[in-house]
Amino acid sequence: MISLGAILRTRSLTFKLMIGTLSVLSVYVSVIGILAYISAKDSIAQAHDEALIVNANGLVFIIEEEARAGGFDRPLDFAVSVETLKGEDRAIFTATSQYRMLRVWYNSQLVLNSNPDTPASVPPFSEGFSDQLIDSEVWRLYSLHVPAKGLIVELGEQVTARQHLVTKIARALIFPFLISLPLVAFLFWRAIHSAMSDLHKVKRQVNKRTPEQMEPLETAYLPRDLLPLVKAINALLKRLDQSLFRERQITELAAHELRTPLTAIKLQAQMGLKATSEEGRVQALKGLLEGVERSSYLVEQILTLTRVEQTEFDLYDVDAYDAAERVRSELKPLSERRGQTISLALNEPLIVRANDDLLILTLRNLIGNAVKYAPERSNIIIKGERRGGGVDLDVIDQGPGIPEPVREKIFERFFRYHSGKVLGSGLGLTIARQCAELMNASLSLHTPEGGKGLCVRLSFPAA
Amino acid sequence: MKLLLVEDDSMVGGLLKTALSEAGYSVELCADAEGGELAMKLHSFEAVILDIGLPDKSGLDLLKSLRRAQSEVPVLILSARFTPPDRVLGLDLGADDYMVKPFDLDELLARLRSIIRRRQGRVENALRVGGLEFDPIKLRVTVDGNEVALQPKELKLLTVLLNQKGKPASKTQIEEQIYEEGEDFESNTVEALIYSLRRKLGRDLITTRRGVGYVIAE
Repeated sequence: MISLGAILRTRSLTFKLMIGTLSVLSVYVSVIGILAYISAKDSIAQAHDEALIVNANGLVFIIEEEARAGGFDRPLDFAVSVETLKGEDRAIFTATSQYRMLRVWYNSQLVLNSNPDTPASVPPFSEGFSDQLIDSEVWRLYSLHVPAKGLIVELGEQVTARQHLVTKIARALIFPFLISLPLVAFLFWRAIHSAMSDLHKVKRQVNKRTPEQMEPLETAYLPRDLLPLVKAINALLKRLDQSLFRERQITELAAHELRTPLTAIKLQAQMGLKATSEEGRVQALKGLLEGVERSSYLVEQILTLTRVEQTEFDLYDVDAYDAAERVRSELKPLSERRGQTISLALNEPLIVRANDDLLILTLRNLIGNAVKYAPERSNIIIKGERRGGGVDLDVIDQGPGIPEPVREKIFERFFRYHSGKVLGSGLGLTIARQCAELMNASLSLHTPEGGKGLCVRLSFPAA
Repeated sequence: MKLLLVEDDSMVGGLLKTALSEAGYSVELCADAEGGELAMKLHSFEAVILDIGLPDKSGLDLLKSLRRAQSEVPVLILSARFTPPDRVLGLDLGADDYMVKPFDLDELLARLRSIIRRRQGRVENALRVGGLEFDPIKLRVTVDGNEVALQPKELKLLTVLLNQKGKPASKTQIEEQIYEEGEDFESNTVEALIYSLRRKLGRDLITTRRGVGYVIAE
């Protein structure tokens, strides 16, 4: 089952930003709404309480006058005062009068009462403010006692009325927001979308890249937060391009180089077909086999070089004596067939900072070359020496050597100096140098003491 | 007919030399450009088969210096470089033909005959003098329609004289064309070959010019 988190994580950035901004906005507006509601409620309560106090005090004066003039032999006609109101004021008063009440006691006699639910049987309310439940309605009451004048004036207001006002204010605040929410969401979406357009631009640029076209992405006029991503993509493109270039180069060279053994194979096959004698055919078949061997060797070396170029190797302490001994025994059948001796002239152990595979591969190519090119019954010496802080490994043979002018060229891919005389791919020294470089070592050709043959030196730097 | 083969790969070179020898050519094989240049200074060749990728320098450089020296020898480039620009470059530098490795042996032989034929101003392969006809493809000689069996060296000598188109060829010239480097020819001297050719093809075909050499009159 896919979790909700996973679903959200895979949603588009636009969606996430929309959800994020809109929810923050909603919370923000809600908090403001709640605060405004509370503040409005408090303010209205305070204002209306004040009004009750002022009105009650005002009424005391009016009623006192009334009492002095004629006493309360007849109940006060509250309706008369309503009629004095005009037009709009009266409409407002009538519409809201049901929410208000007034009771006046004079000398413990209820002389004025606007609310039929609170007859004389309901005794005067306690002095000051109180909330009373009258006929299932909550009333805010203010009772003003003036004992000196025998007066109690009670003014009240239904809490619902205040509630209505607060709700009205809150609604006035929230309604425009709710109405404009789709518009706000749309504007947000527009803003996010235009910010995302830079991302789309990058995407379009990446889409245009092909193995043939790996130029870096445009970094000018790019938002600062996209820059690291684009730079990372550019670095990747560069690495890819280099690796593709190397691969293409080796493929082209390999295709070219494979043509030569293939030419020999084809020629051999055609001559075999033309051969009139059994002997001729056998000879052609032998030649064919040799050609196939050459091609396989070439392919093998190409694969080795590719592997060396594309693998990451760790470096650690390796015993060079051990590696040389292993390669010597590996090549023993070949060297013995040629009557050659391979002698090791190095201390045991001779520790170098290297990699087992790389060191073996290097020595296999170097000693293998010595065995192949040096004459029969000659000596091949592997010498190891500490020089400065570093270590030099020399493979010395008594072969034809490599003249000074071609000593650098000999490391180039497929370059062969003694070509044709022995089975070779033109890649052995290329591989060896590549391995050496991966071990931070260097590979160079020298003339051994005595001036004859070749000395190939693998130099490890001081640690 | 003597060919120069400049090919650095010993296997391809060796095989091609054998194949060309079987087709009736004397072949001198050189493994590098320097050897090729030296060989051309010392001998004259009917045609040159040239590889481009040589260890010391490009076969194209060899071709360039050859043409700059006004040499007219037909050159066939035999290279692993196969792109059209490579071929155009080779041909424009003065090669008469360009073949890509790996190649078809029969096609190579045919193209070789073609460039040699063109250089000699002939339109067909067969060489004819009187009743004698030589077919260089099948290496067959007929006199008045009857096949005459010839030894390889006799065939080579006959080809040399026929290619001279009526001009006499000196003994050294002939030796150079029919013997390969280092070949022991004491048992097969030019005089002996001329003798056996006259015996097989008739006394009047080859005339001896005292102090000059031998000639087959057209």
